[in-house]
Amino acid sequence: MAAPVEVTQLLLHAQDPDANVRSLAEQKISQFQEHDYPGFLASLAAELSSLAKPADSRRLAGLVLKNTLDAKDESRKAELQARWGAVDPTLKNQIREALLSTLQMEPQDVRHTAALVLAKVAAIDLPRREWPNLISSLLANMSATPPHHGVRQATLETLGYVCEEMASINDEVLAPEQINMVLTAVVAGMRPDEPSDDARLAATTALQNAIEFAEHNFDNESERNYIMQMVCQGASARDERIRIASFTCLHEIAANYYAKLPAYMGEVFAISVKAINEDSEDVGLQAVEFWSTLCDIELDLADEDDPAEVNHHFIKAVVPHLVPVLLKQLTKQDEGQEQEETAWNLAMASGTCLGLLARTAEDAIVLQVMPFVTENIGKNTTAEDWRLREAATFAFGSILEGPSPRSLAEIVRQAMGFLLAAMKDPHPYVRDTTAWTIGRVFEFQHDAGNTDVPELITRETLPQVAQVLLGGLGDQVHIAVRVCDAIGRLAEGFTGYAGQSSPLSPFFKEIITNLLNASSRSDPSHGDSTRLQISAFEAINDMVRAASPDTLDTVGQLTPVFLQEIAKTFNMVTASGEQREKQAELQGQLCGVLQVIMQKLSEVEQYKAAVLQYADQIMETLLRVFGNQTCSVHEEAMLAVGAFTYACGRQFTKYLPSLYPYLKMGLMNHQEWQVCLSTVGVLGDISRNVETDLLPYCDEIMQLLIHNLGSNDVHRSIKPQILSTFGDLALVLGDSFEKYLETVKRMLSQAMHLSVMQAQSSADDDFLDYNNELRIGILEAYSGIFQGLGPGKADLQMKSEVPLIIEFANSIGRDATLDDTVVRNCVNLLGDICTVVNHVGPILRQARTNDWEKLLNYCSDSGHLLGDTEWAINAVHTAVEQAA
Amino acid sequence: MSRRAAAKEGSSSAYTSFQQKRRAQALDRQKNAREDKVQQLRTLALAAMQDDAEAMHEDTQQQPQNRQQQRHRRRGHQQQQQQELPQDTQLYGMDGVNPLQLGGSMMKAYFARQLMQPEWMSDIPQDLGSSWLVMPRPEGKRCLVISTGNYTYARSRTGALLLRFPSKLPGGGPGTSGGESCYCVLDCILQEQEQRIQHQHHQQQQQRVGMDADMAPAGESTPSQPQQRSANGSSSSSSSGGCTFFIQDVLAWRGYSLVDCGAEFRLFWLASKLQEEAGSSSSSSSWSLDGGDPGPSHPHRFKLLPYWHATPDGLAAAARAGAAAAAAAAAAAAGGCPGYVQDGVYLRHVEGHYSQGGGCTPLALLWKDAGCSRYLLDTDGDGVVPEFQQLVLAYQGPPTDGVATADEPPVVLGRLPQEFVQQMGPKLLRPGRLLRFSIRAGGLLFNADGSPAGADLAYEGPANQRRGRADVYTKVLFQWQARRQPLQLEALLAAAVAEQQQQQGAGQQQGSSMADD
Repeated sequence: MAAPVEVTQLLLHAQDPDANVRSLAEQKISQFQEHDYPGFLASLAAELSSLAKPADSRRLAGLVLKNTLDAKDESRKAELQARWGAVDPTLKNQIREALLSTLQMEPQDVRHTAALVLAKVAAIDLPRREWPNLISSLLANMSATPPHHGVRQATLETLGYVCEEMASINDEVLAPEQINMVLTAVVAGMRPDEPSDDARLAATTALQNAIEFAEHNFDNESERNYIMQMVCQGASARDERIRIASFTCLHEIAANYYAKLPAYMGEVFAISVKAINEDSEDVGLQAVEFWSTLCDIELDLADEDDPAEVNHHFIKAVVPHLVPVLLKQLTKQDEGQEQEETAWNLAMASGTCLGLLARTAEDAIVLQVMPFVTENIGKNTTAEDWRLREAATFAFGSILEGPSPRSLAEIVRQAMGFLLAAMKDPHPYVRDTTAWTIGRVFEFQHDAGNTDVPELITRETLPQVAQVLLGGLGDQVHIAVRVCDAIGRLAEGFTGYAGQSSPLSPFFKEIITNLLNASSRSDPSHGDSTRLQISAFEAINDMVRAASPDTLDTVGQLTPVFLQEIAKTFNMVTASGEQREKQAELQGQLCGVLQVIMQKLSEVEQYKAAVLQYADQIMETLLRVFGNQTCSVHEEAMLAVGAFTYACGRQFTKYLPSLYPYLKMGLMNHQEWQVCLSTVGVLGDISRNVETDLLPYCDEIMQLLIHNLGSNDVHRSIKPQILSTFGDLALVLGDSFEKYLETVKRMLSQAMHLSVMQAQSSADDDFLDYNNELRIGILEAYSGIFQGLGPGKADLQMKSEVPLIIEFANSIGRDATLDDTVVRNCVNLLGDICTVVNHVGPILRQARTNDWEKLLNYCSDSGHLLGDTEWAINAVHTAVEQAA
Repeated sequence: MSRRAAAKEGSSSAYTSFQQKRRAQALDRQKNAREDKVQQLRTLALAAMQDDAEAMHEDTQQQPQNRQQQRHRRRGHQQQQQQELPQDTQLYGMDGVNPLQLGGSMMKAYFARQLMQPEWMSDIPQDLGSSWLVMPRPEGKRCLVISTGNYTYARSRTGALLLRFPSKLPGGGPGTSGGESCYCVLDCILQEQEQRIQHQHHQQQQQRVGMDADMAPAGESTPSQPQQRSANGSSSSSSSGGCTFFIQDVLAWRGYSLVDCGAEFRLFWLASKLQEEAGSSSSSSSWSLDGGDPGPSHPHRFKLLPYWHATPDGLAAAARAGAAAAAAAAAAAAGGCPGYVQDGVYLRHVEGHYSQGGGCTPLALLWKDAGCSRYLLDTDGDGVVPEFQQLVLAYQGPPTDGVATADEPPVVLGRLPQEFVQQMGPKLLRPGRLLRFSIRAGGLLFNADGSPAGADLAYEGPANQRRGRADVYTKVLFQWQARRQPLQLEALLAAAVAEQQQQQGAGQQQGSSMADD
């Protein structure tokens, strides 16, 4: 048995203001933990549960103990949990008892620490069925007579934390009767006659975590009524914290038991309106948030359109009553909040909620909001009227997404002149919101490619629009940022414009020039102009993406400009880590623009030359950006390389030797998984363009890819992309890919096995998405291999894989909801197989099930998939008919 | 508070979202490019499969495919065409047709018209020795070989795609030099692998049994091995594997069209370009005129056939070239130059352009006798020479109900009796349908000027529709003569010798007349 050791001084020293004392103590603590883990645990538990010790060291002992049981990092956490699991049962019991007894001891903050530790032990022990009497021991605290408020409070906290832990385990650890007892105890603690506010707060907070488990109780009407009654009463409790927590409970209830809400909506509406109008801002915010949550839920329901899930359309019903309440809040702006990016108050929350209401209720919102807008947007009689103008503009901007463009078209057309004029409003907040609203108008109402709606911005109106926007770029930085965004949306709306010249063409050069100036603006009144720089570059990107053919010359001229901008970054002062980070970030933005420019120019054969005339310079610049980082590869520069390959084609081969080290480094960068992912994608770009010239590097590349595929350190999102890249390489290497074929076949069959197994077991959305990515990777890999090998070889080398692939297709066919991209890829692969492999018909006929046929039928019945898959459907049918 | 970040789209996280947009754009680009790439190969593979399916449908007279299939096939072919057809379509566009606008079986027909169609020699040309070139003709499958876009395509006489493979021909495989405009078009005889092994085996037998040993069914009417199997063979076999393409003519080299050049120039050009190619290649053994071992980047061999002026020496050399090649192949170690079984000789007029369009040209002639061919007389499917001469003619349809040769214009050799047409019915007897006949006792009939007047025909049954076309009249005539009074090598030699003597005589006369000046 591990004997406790005196740790009081050690723990106190670990908090000593003197750094030397502190680090020495920390060192000793970790040595103790390493050398005598049981003794370490016993000593901490003894310290925590010893009334004689100072509260500080007891609390610290609890926190250190908690840290030996849990960590943020998943693998570290698993390690710690396994270590606790291996501890001698007697010692574990001793520690558990110490923790439970600490709940009974003063002071309250040590009880609180004990509650935290208890939940961590429970998180390990309960799934292993190792602490059966935990819940009953806790409940005993609740029913003890006479009641002790502090103990009840700490016990309720413990119950809440335990529920929180259980929720993250995602396994039915607690038995129904245990859940029932926990809920009974928690709800009992929420009663208005609970003498201790702290205990009532703890109970309300615990309920938030327990609601998820309360399915049975919510199915039972009388229990549900009781829980709802307690929560609603809590919304008018004396203690503000309880009112806040009660609304948070309502969010949880709405998210979990939406279907059960109708009976309670009347009361919930009443208490929420009261809170918004009369209560403190913090409570009001939570009340507004309830409606925003409800919008989220109904938007999801409308999106999924699952007949099994009922949509009560609460939002449509509540709009006429709720909108006036929210509009009133819009005028409660904080002075100068426009300067503050993260300002959050009732005005912001109400505007945000209004936007969600508009998306949920759609056209129905327009009539509710427009009178407020027209009445207030021009008010200017008192100095405070800017609040009305800003609120009206904010309200207008908020409802632009959701209602049909048709229902808004005329209103927006009339508002345009007003909004442009308001860009000169004396109050900066009004100008800020106006710029934001103009951006939203462009985003949702301006699409030159959509012929259903009359054009909002025409050759006649654009000159004035352009003039106002260009002027706005010179306004205060936060306004200029919004103007950049509006310019981006304006350009985006012209992307679908057919023909040589768009209405934007005459202003193209001037707008780009002004954006470039804005990007280099240093505003003394506003210390950090990074935001403006980022937004200005992104607006340039949008302009370039939308450039019509007659402005491509101007786009071509941007290449040297941005090469020079990148060159300048190498002169930045990079003494500190922060400065180096800033340099890398700026280089990233500039490489991003370069990428967009090159991609745009490469799309038009004759403009590839505009990129190629700077080819060596571009590559030198990008290599210099790569070289600027010691241990990482710049992702934006890598993506720029990818775009560059399309301008170069096979000529890119000459840059391979100098790029290759960075390509390799990117493929090995498992920590920054986005970098690795982008590098894998760019590898595909390169292979498509240099084709067999990549051959000398392929042995090593394949080794790296195969390693990544098998490694647990590699982010899972990269793996499907690697499989697709196998397809890319197979496609361009043809026969030279044969030497990797055995390995790749093995990896693919493992991946298929994994995918099929997972498809059977899990139904979590996140997982389904990933499995679909994995499937696409597998399917693309096979298509590349079959077609890369061509008719003769594929028959010889790949025929043995066909039955496995058909089983894989069957597994996809069994999906409850089919994913278009997966199905298209799968049907095309079946087509590939039937065209390059002989006698596939009999194999298809002999497959265990013919779920693959569902995929063919799905494509045949779908208007948009048939075009891409018709050839494959015919190829499969021909193969099957021939087997008949 | 997640809404805080979303409020008014606060740009605190803007950079990441913009970056995400670029990532998505890059992914889109990658995805589209990937699909384009795979689609290119897909359409080719698909077209190859449909060629087969098409032939099979014709053979077995199955119901025509549904309209969707046909529509799709058209699309597939068009895409394929953009791949396979060099950009410079002048080479092909002999009749103002833009091949890119063709589709479906039209495209097959289009390729079928590219190969020059020789006549069979029934009379010996007067200028044989001075104006004609002679080349041995190996047994095998005549095909059009096109190298472009890093692939090499072999198409049969009917235009069907036989093989797609990489080769060392310019433009024909990865790593070969030249840009997009770099392509070659060759006229070849394809010797498939099984065929070669079988023939080598046959040649060993021949050496024992003698030149006249006739043991395997083959010849023009013999169905050849399915192409897929030969492709497999090439990958599974060792260095000696692969097919051999015997090059007999060139239509274009490195994008330079030669169809409007005389035959002598074409062959000279071809020989010197192949030489250059072999010389410039870093590992000259991998691409060689004499074959060389096939490897992964060039699974099949190319070999230029030798040619001579059709002088007595040249004719004699050409007539025994096959035997000489077989002897050389036997002498060389495994993997040396491939031998072949000869099937007569191929003669071209030195100034004759490469004639295209499907009709026969009298400036290219085929000839064989029992000394340089295993099959002087056509054999049936079992390799037996039938009692009566067989021929394939095309039904011309009502109202004449004539049956005619593939010549342009067709030579009508007979008419189907009314009751026979009714009995067969319009379903079986579509115009253009190929029918097999035999020539009976009445033989071929001629007009006074020697032009064809008809034949004593007996209906034998439907012909293999897959062969694509009826026999040409000169072939019928050649076979008819071969059964009665074959044109022997001796006669050719005699004609060439006579011509030589005549020329020498003329030369002396000319010489003396010049001396007179």
